Amino acid sequence: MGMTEDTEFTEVIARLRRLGERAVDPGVASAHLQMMAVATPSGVHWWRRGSTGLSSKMRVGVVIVAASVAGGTGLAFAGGLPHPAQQVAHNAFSAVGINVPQGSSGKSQTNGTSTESSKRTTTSVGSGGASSTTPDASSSGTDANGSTTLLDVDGTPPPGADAAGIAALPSTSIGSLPDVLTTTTSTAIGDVASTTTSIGAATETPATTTPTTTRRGNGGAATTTTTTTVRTTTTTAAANGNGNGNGNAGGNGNGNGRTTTTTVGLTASTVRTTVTTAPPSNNGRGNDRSVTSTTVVPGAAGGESVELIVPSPDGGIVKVIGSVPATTVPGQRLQSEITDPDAAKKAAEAQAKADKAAAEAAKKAAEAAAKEARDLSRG
Amino acid sequence: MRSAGDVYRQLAPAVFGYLRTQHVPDAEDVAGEVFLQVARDLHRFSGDDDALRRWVFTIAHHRMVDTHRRRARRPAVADMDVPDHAAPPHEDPMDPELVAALDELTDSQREVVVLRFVADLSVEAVAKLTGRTPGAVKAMQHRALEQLSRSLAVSREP
Repeated sequence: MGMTEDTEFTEVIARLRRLGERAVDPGVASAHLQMMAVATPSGVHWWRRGSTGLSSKMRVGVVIVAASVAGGTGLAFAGGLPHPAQQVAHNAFSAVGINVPQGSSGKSQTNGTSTESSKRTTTSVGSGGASSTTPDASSSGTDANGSTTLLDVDGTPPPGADAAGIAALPSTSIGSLPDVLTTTTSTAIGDVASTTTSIGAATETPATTTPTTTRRGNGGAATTTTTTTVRTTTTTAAANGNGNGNGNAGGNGNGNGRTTTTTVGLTASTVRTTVTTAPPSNNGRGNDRSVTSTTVVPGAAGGESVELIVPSPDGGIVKVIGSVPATTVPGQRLQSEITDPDAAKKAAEAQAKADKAAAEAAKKAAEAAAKEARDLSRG
Repeated sequence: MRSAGDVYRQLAPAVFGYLRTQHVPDAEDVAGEVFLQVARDLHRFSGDDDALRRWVFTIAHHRMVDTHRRRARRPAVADMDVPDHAAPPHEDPMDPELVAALDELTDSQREVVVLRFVADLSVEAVAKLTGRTPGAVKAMQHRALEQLSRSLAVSREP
């Protein structure tokens, strides 16, 4: 029909086409072009591009993901994420020098000058070593086997750190009653010397050679402040003794005894560290989730090492060696880095598990976001 | 990347012809609205010249329909005195004989032939724009051309 029409109505079609080829009045064209120039967008925003930009679904998805990231980051800084996700956030941010609370299954409690909870990063268990002097040692007590963690502040290896030696340290006291606080002090690695300080009579001793100050608050939280100039290990325990430990030196019971503290200076300078634990629980299920805070107090010398024996998350004991940052800031929290092989292995396993959980959570979040985006696009 | 000015220079004559043959009042203003929208939305358009032509005439068609509908709802009221003298002829008059012949067509026939040959759209594009099938467009086009030929032939007879 087309070809026939072209030949049959050639003249008519040609005249029709000429109607569409007549030049526009220059004045009208000029006015129109000026109006169009004003209306033309000066810059094309990326989110308003047509087929070359993001589709509406993608835009919705991007908005959701951005909101999730922003919200998740805020929660991470607030420490409000679930434990695995919080752990992942902690690791990710710490890699770039940003301090984000670590995932914790327990509640942080502080007392005295302590301001932050310590990081319980290792769960490796070593030999119990020599038993410290404990009045109720026959009863089951704390998980005595100590784990070893090297606390490496600012990436500087602690001077004089001896993981093997530290692992052999006596590290526990067993079976004391909740209202009994025992302090054990050793003057050298492997050499155990003990002193006992009763609860309720808070004493404070100026720093001389190995002064130890132990205070017990009404709330049950124990605060021990130790100032020392020699390599000293101080272990303070308050256990409620209802576990089923076998009374060995290390004590492998599941009691919820509490072990806290200690400060060791490897140099002659004074290092002061405050360690605080939560009140002991009395439920006998070994779920004492005490948290230890380590805070550099004013006067601590930068670069000095501290050694801490603190409760592990599972009720055991963790030995920590660290150095005070070269530039000490009152209230600054010491960060740890695991160097013990077993601890590292277990931590890696825990990390892998946490990463997996976080990945699953992220996957679920992405699926939910995609579903929501689909629903929005349909809507 | 086309500029709005290029599009105007390329398609404005056809748009003006389309609007005038469709008896759109104030065709220049309506054409200005059409190209204003083109200028605003050109950055979102992608396609070849044929697609651009289809897009621009789709806008022009909708503007034409809106204008007719608005005029039907609100008839213009002359609030000024009627001039004593007739306006001078247009400097660039359209083919009056052909325009008169087009006026004898039905609205549908006129729309189809104008879109096909003034706007230079394909049968498929006209069918899509007017909501008809391509076969119906072809048939309507054929009858319109026949009618135009008859009208023009008659007008030529002494």
